[in-house]
Amino acid sequence: MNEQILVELLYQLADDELVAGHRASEWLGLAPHFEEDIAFASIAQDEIGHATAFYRLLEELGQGKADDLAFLRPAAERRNAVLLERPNGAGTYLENPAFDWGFTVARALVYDLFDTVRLEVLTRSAYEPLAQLAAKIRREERYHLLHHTTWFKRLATGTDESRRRLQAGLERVWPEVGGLFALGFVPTGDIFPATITDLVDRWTAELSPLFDSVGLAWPSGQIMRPPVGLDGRRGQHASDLEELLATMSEVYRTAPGAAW
Amino acid sequence: MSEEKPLFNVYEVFVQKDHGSPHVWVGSVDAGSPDDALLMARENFLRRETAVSIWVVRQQDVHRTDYEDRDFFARESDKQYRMLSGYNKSNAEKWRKYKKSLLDLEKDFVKD
Repeated sequence: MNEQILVELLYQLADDELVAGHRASEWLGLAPHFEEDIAFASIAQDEIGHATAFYRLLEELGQGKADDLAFLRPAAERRNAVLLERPNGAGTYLENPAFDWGFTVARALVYDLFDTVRLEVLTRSAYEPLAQLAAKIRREERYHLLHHTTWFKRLATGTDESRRRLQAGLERVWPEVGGLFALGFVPTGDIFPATITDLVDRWTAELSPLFDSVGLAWPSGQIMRPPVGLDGRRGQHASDLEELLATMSEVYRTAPGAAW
Repeated sequence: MSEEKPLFNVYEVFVQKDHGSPHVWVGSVDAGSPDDALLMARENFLRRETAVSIWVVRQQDVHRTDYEDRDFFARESDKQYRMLSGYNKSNAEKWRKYKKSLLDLEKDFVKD
């Protein structure tokens, strides 16, 4: 087994979950209603928990301490898809957050569905610890997907405004969906037994009936490749990631040796 | 929208902790649909606890008594006989006597 490939793959998994979880956590206190605030915060915690588990596998492979891997690596070394680092909307968490729930639901749905497809592939990975972890995480992601699907249907069939906002969210999400499927330096093989086409096909087969069920047209535009110059799997990122990392690691950097 | 329906409704939440237990009311959530209500109930009431089943019921579908209507619950005459505590020592004594009399009857019957 090629350990370099395995390490590359684990960084993709860990970084995706960490960045997705961090953005989700930024809805705390801001979600559309009280009940959803708690629900979405729980999902954020779950995602960060999954990231932690992947960083621990990297730690076991001698990559360094899991916390250091999460908080101290520069943006250029990060392997998350660019879509996941995008802010939730205008403003920042602390200053005039005018966040966009339509975009958030659209992104959460397309990402978690992708993640579900990817986890299924990982359960067949030749690296046994990863296959076992993927099977465990998959059970939790099932509920996340149900949560996002329910919101998707709710917005799509709610009011004219909710439908319009969801559609606007999908239009923002779509051009960067291809960045999820990119595999960077990970070739198809025994560690990751699927091709980009496999991933896209399975994802489309799940998502397109959902669009049909609420009468939404399948968005135009290619989803097979990341936008030019923004392939997160190869360390290409928007400035959004720099800002995210600065905020996320601020406390950790104040006292790197401290036990929290 | 053809009819005036609120977008959100209050749902009462009932949780069953294990298969042998009844569903117990735990509180309520505000939600846009029954499906949403189940999700919200799971997150808001089962963040730490585990369960095997959740029921949600739209609050307005719950029919209730009126607190003012005290007569509905009137219990003026002696209903002691419906209570377990109504069956005390003297009852046990009566039962013993009765059973004994049955046995005596049986004896007489055999003699004949």
